[in-house]
Amino acid sequence: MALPTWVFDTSSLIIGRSLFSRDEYSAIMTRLTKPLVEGRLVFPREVVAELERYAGADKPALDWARLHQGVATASQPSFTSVRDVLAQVPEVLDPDKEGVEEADSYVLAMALELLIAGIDVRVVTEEFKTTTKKMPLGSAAGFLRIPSVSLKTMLKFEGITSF
Amino acid sequence: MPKIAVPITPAVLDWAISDSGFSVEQIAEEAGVQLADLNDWLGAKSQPGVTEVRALAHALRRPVAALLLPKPPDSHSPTVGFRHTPGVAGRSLSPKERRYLRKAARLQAMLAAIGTEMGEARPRLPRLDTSGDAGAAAAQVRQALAVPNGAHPQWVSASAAFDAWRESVESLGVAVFLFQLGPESCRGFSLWNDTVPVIAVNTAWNDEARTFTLLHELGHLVARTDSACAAGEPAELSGAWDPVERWCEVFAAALLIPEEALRVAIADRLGPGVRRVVDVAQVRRLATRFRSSLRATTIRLIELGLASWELYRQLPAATDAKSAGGGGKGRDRQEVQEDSLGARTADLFRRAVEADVVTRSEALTYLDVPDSALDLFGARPA
Repeated sequence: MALPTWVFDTSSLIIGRSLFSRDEYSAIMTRLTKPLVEGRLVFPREVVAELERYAGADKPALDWARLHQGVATASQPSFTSVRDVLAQVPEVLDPDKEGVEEADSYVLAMALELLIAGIDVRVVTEEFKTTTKKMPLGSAAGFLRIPSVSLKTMLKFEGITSF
Repeated sequence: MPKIAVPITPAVLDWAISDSGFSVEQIAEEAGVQLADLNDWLGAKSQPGVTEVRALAHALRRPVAALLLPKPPDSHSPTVGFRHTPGVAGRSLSPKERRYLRKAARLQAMLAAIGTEMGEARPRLPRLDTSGDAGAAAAQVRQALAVPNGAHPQWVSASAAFDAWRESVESLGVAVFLFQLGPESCRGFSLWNDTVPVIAVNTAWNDEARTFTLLHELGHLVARTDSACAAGEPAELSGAWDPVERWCEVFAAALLIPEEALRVAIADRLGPGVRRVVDVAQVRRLATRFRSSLRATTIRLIELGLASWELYRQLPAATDAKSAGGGGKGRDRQEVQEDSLGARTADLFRRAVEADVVTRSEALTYLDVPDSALDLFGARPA
């Protein structure tokens, strides 16, 4: 079975640092470069911006994302797609959040554009739990008929780590 | 290259401007866009470009994506009463006050959701009526705070006193935020919630004034009268008091300065024969004992019949101003945020992440700290 195109959310790049040791995670990031250069791993620019704000000093994911930003964000979604996503799942956005732009609606828009183009796509996120009125990215993706998985699942199917 | 038109929703832009407290003209100036263009976008006659929509979102303190929503969100900024001492002109909340209220309410909603899911104890705050005796209410709350009415702690500094009071108030289940609202804004505000009530204190004034604001807002929580509160210069005191505001001033002063301890301090510091306090120098000596503001100390003296309102009017202008100089200690973002959001918030988020109630990235966006700081957040001794 051919592997899908992965659209990464910030949460899955952030959580890697707590799931693995620094050396392990650096090695994982290096191996993620393969699907990225093959065009099967993408993320919008807003993910890089969130990483810049939240990744902290020990930041293999940010270093990797910055290095490959040009390739990974080449298919940056249009504002029209973001609007179309929000027309269906407005609750995925927290309109009161200040500061760096929240990536969720851009991740969904990117995935939706790829899906419409006939590409087999998965959103990679850790956001599945409902805590406040904001809809988790994983749930919003589900409503939009976009499958979503966690980082650990993605790494397993890419043969990078075992589950 | 042709301009990319961003398909914003005019009704959402209109809502965001209205909710910000700015006028259309002010937003145009703040965002650096032409007023005529902004009116065209509001009237759906044209659409802004990417640079313009980013500038608008920044001025409105909203995500760009918010302007792409199909309609204005159902939730609105919290509603609180603007209350003030006599001599302060009544006004509506300023854009900055609205912004920080929204920020506090957003944090409060998340803290309440976390608290509920984690089975946190409800806040131990009695509900008291402002028609009752404020001094008795203060004595009741002192008991809840486990601060004895007789013995009164001796703090090494006003800053240490504020930290101790903040910790005590947080121990009741209240989240206490410190916000840089600036001297033109309210002293503080309060937002009741059955799980996590919130007090925000403006950092524009000295520690003594902050302590008084903290306890004044605690009064509003006890009375369940959500408010944003401003205080004028003592010399401007004239006209009628808002009864709720007056009750909270007396409540805060009584909480901060118990009668028994005050009478002991008068004897110790002003002399055993002193029956009335008549000048500001005497007030200052008493205020130092309690690490309280001159305003709080004088109000307490007046309530106990130990001074007159004339003494209050003699208090120097800018009595609550911070001392000049000093400057920052070069704190990192974790330290700044920890100080701003307080121990209760830090502790709740840290435990919520450990218990998998919220994800790390969710916690990071609320706390606005880098990932490397999250495990330390709230774990360091004060």
